Amino acid sequence: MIESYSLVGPAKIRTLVVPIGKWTRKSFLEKVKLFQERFDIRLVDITPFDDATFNPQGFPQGRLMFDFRTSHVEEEHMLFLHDFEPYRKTFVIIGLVNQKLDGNVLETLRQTYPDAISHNLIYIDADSTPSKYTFNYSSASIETIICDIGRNFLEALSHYYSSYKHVTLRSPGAIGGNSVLKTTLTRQPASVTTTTATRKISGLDPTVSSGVVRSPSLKSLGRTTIPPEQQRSKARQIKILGNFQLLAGRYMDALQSFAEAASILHKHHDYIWLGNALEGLSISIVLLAYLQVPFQIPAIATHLCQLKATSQSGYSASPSKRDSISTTPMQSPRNSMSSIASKVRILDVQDVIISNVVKSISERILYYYELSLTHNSEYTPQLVYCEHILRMLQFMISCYKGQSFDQQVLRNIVLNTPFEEIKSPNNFVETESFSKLEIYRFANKLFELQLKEMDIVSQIKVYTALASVYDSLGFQRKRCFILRILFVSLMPHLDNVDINAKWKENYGEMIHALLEVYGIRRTPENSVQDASNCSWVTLQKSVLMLCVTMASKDRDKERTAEFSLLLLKRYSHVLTQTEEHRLLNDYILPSISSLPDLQYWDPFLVRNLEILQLDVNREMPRKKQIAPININGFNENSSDSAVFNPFRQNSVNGVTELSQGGHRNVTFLLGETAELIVTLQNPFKFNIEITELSFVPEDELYVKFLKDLSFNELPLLIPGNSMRSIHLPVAFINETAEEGQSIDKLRIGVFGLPPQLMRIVVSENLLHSREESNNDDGNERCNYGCFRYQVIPEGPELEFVSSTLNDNACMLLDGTKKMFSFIVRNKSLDQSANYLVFSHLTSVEKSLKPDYWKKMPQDDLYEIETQLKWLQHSCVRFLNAPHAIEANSTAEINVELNMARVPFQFSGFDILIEYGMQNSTNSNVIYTKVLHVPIEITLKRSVEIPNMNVIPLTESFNEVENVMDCVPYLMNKVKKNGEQISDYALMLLDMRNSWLHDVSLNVQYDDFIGNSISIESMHTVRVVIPIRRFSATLNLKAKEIPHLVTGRQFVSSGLTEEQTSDMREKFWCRERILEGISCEWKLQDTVGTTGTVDFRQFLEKIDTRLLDILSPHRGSSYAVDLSSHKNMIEVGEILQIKATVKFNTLHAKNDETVSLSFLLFNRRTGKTIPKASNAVLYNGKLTRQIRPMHNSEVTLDLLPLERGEYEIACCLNSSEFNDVPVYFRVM
Amino acid sequence: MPCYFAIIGSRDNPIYEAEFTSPHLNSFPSELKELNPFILHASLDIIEDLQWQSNPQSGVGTNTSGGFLRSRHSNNNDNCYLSKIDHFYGLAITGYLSYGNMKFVMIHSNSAGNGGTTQIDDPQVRAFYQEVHELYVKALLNPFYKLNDPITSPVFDSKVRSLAKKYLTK
Repeated sequence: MIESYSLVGPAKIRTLVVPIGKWTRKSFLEKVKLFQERFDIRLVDITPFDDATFNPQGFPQGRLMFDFRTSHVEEEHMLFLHDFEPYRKTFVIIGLVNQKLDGNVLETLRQTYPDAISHNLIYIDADSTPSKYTFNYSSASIETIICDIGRNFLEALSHYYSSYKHVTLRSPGAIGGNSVLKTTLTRQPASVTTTTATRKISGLDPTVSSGVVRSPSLKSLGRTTIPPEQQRSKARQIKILGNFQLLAGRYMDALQSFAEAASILHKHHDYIWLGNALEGLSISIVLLAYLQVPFQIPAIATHLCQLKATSQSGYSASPSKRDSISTTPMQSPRNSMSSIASKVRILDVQDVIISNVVKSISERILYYYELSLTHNSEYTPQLVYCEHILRMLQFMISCYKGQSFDQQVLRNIVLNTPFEEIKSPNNFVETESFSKLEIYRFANKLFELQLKEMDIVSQIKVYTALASVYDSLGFQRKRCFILRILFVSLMPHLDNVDINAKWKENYGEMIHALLEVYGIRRTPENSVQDASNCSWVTLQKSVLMLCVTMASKDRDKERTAEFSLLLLKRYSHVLTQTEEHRLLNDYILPSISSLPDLQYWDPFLVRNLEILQLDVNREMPRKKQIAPININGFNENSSDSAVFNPFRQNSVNGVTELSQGGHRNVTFLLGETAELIVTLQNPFKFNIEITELSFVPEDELYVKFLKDLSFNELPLLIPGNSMRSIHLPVAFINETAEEGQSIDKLRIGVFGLPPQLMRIVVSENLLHSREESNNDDGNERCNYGCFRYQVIPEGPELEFVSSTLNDNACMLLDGTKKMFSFIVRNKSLDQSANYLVFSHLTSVEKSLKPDYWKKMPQDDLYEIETQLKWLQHSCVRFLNAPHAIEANSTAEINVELNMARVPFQFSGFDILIEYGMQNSTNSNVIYTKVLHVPIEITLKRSVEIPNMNVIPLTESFNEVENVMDCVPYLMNKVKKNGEQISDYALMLLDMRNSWLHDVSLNVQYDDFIGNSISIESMHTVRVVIPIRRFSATLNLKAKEIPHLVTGRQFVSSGLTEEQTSDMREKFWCRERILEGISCEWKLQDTVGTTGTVDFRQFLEKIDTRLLDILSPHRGSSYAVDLSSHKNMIEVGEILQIKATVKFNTLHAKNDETVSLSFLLFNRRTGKTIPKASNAVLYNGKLTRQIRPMHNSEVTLDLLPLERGEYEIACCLNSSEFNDVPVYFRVM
Repeated sequence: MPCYFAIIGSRDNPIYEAEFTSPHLNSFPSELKELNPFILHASLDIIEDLQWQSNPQSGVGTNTSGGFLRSRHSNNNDNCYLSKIDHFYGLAITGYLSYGNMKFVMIHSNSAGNGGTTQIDDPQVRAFYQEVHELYVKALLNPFYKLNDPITSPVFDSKVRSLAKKYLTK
C-alpha cells in the first residue's frame, strides 16, 4: 500500500487489468506481475500509423510506459481533476481471459468500463482468434502484445485528444465546486507570503503587461492579437496536449508544449495551470535526460526560475556557465522584461545539473500553487499540491540514495528499478545531491497543510509515502510517528471494506516497526537489563493502546489479544483500572476460545508453595543409618575432624538457626493428609479466576488433591493487586525415593485458558543486587524455588501398656537394687517392629547442660563423668529386651534398677525404645520412632558419711587399750611384715543411719575387714579404719587425671604447674582411698534389704592436711627420723637422740652437704629453750653439717638439768622438719 | 505560549518531562497533550542528524557558530543550542544537546493556539536551555543519581519551572 509517487508518474498510462473467466487471486496476480515487469516499450517498436500528433515515428526514442493496476479505488473522487491532469484517467483496460467464453467479451468489457479509451483482451491458456484488440498469450511474446496494446492506445488517444480540442478547460476548483479541498496552509500564507507575493506580483505585473507589447521574444509566440481569455484557454489546451504527448512518449514535443503553455499562462497569471505546466516541463526534462537526448532548457523555465532563484541551486552549477550567467543583469527585477529575456541564455542540458533544475522548478511550482490560493475558483486543490510534493520527495530520495545524479539514478526514477548496491548515505561527504535535512525540510512542507481535511484515501497515500520517505532517510522515529498518525486517521474508516483490504497488506510490518522503534519489544519479564532500563512508557502505552483498538476494529482477534497481553504483561503499572478491565473483558476473554495458543500473561503467578503437616504433634519417624557408612561418607567425616573447625560450634550453640534454604526435605508419611499452601499473585487491577490447578504428572505419582474437597472450590478468585494463599488438602499416595521429591511447578489454568506449567518464583533479580541466577530456561529475571519433600512408609507404632510399678513410680533406698517389668504393645496391625533399641535417659543426664564440661576443673569433671558413665551403663539394665515385636502383639521387658551409685538429685528416668521396621530391600536406612516411658523414682537416704578425718599414728599407740578392731590388725602387720606403726594412719569415718530401721554394716579397706557395726535409726557411729600411708616412692604428681570423654577441645585451665600437680596429688590420693574402701549394709527390716555405700558421693576432696598425713614425703628430698632410746629419764641422766636422714628417692640429689639442726622445745609452753638456758645441756653443736650419702645418722647427747617435759625436733636446711617429734620427760 | 519540555536520555527514555503553562495562557488542547511526546520522540531523529553535521546548513539551525560538532573547540556552550530543529503543523520544536548526549527538547506552541506558525525567541530559549543544562549537571553530581534514570527531585522540577516562567511563558 506504500504507493510510490514517482516523479514521472504523469507520464505513465494508467491501465486496469481485469480478470475474465475463472481466476484464483494468486494466479491472476502472478500474470499481472509479468506485465508489470515489462511496463515500458520503445516507440520505435510500435507499428507507425498516420496520425501526426501521436505518431510513434515522430520521436522514435520515446517510450510508452504503462502503469498496470488491478484496482481503481479513487477514480470517482478524482473526476474533477481529469481535465486538469488527464493522466489520472484510466485509459486502457486489459482483460485477461483464461477460458473460452461465449458472446462478445470485448463488447462487454467496453460496456463495463465505458470511460476507458482502449479495451484489449489477452487470452491465456485459452485459444481465440487474434484480432486487433484480442491477443493470444501463448502465440505471441508478451512484449509484442504490449506493443500492440500501445499502438491501440496511441490510436485511441488521438481520437480522444481530438475531442478535447474544442473544449474550454476549466480549473478543478471550478469543476468540483465546494467539494474540492482547497489547499490550506497552516503557516498563514496571508500574512507571510502575501507580502512577498504581492511584492513579487506587483513587480511582475507591469513587466508582464508591458512584456506582452514589448518583448520581441515573447511576441514571437504570436498570440498577441487574441483576447486574453482565449489566450489563456489556448494555453490550457497546449498544456493538456503536453500531457498527452508525455503519455504518448513524445517527450520533446511535450517539453515544447509545456514551455509554450507556461509562457502564455505566466502572462495571464493563471497560476495553477502555470504550476502544472511547469511540472510537466520538469518531467519532460527528466525523461529526456534519461533517454540521453540532447535538448535545451526552455527559455521560460530559465527565465522564471533563475529570476527568483535565491539559493545556490541555480542552473549554473557547471562552472563554465557561471561566468556567462553572472554577466546577466539581475540587479533589479524592475528592469524591462525584454532586456532580461533577450539576455537569458538558452541553457543546454549538458551544462546543468538536472536535479537542481528540477528542484528549483519545483519551488516555483509550489510558489505558483500558493499564489493561486487567493482565487475563488482558480485555486490549487490540496491533492495536487500534496502529490507534487510527494513526487518531488520521491525524486529527491532517489537522488539521495544514488548520492549523485547519474544515469543509474535516472533509471531508478523512471523505471523504478532498485539500486544495484545501496550506497550508504554518508553525511560527511559533500555530495551534489540533496542532503538528508534538505529532503526532510521539503517533506515538512506537507505539515503546513491541513492533511486531516483530505479524504481518507489521499491521507493514507500521503502518510504512507511520507513514511517511506522517512524510512529511506533513516528517520525511523519520524516514520513511526507518521505511521501512528496514519493509524489514528485510519481508525474511523476501518469499516470501509476497500480501505480495510488495502490496509491489511502491510499492517503487520508497520506494527512491527512501531513496536521496535518505541522499544516495546523489550522483554522485562526475562531480562534484568530490560527491566532496569527505563523507557518512555507514555509512548509505549499509547502506541499499544492504539494497536489494540486498531486490531479490534479490524476484528483481528489474534492481534488484539497479542497487544492486550503485551499491555497487561509489561505495562500494567501504568494502566488504570478501567483500562485493564476493558483490555481483559473486551479483548482477551472473548477470544480465549478462538485462540488455542493464548497463554496466561503473568509468568510469575506462583510465588510460593508449601505443604504443611496438619498434625503438628504427631511423631514423625526419623531417618537412621544402620549399615556402616559408605567410604565416601567416612572420608568426609574424617577430613572434617582432622582440621579443627572453629565455626562448627556455631551450629551447636548458635543463637540463629542456620538458613535451611530449600534443601531440607520435609517428610510426610505415606497416606498422610497435609495442607498445600500455594501463594498466587495478581498484580493486575482486576480479579483473576483460577479455573484449574493440578500437579504435574511427575508429582501426581506421589501427591494428590483430596478431590472432593479441592474441586468444589474452583474457580478460585484472586482479588486485584493482591497475593492470595490458597489452602488445599492433599494426600500422599506413594513413597518417594531416598533423596526425596521436589515440586517446582504447578499446572494452572487461568480464566479457562488451557493450563500452563507455572514455576515457583521466589524472588526477582534486580540489576545491582544480582545473584548469578542460572535458570535453565534462560530467564534471568527471577529466582525459581521448589518445595522438597519426602514420603516415607508408615512404620509400626508401639505403646506403653503397663508396668509392675504403681503409676510408674517407686521409692528406693540409696545403694539398693530393684527389679521391675513393663509391657509394650505394637498398635500397628500390619507392621512389625523388627528394629528395637532399648535405652534410658536419667533425670541427671537430662538436667545437664550440653556444655557442662566447660570451665570445670579436671578432678570434678572426672567425678561427674564417672557418675554419668555409671548411670549410663549400670543404673538401668534391660534383662530380656526382645528383638522384634510382631504387629498387634505385646512384649514384657524386665528391668533391673541399681541405685548403688546414684546421686541424690536423681528423680527418675525415661525408658526410650527406638523402633522401626526394617525392610530387607532397603537395609542401610531405617525410619524409627521413639517411645518414651517415664519412670519416677524417689531416692531415700540410707547410710551416709557426714564426716571423715585422718590422723597419723604414733608409737604411743601401743599403749592404747586393745578395744578397737584396727589394733590387732596393725599389730599383726607390724609383727608379720615388719612394718612400722608410723607407716599407717587412721581414718575416722562418721557413719550415719538415715533410714527408719537399724542397720548393720561392714567396712573394708584393702585387706582390713572391720567388725560388723550396728547403727540405730538416725544415729551416727564413728568407724576407725587403718590406712597404710603412701610410700615415698609413689609419685602422685606425675600421673594425669584421666579423661573419660575424649575428643574435646580444652582450653588451658589457667592453673599453674604447681596447682596442677597439687590437684593431681589430691585426686590420686582420694582415688586410692576410694579404691580400697567399701561398705555393705543390711537393714534389720522384714526383707533384710541390703545395699552398699558409695563413698565417692560422701567423701570430700582431700585437703592438704590429710594429704600431708597420708603421703608424708611427697615434697622433700630428704626425710629425717628422730628417735631416742628412752622416753623418761632422770635429771642428770644422759639421753641420746638419734637422727636418721633418709633419701627421698624421687628427689635424689648428688652428694651434697646438708645442715641438720636440732631444736629443743619446752613441751608445756611450746617455747624454744634458749641456748643460754641451763635446763638442758647438750654435747657439741645443735647444728651439724652432714653429707647424707655417707653418714646418715647423727646423734646428740643431752643432759637435762631441770625436770620437765621436752620436745626435740630437727630440721634439714632450715626447711624440712621431721614428722614425728621426740618427747621425753625428765623426772 | 505553552511549552512541553523533556530531557531525553541516551536510550530514548525520558529523564524529565514538564509542561509549562501559565494561567493567562492557553494550555495544550487535550489531543495535543497526548501527541506531544510523540512529536518530541520523532524530533530526536533530526537532532541525531544535526548532531553529526559538521556544517549544518542555515535554515534550521540558525546559530551562526557552525553546529554542535564545532563546539568541542570552543569554551562556551553556545553550540549546544540547536535552535529550531523541527516543526509539526504550527508547533515549533527546539533542541539542545548536552555533551553527555542528553537531548533537551521542547515543543513551543503559539500563544494564540490557532495553528499559526510559532516564532522562537532564540536568546531567551537559549538562556533557558543553558540554565536547565546547568541544573542537570548539578543533578548529575548527586552520587545517588544514576545516568539515564528519571530525575524525580521536586527541587529540580521547581527550579526548571521557575526558569520556564522567567524565560518562556512571559
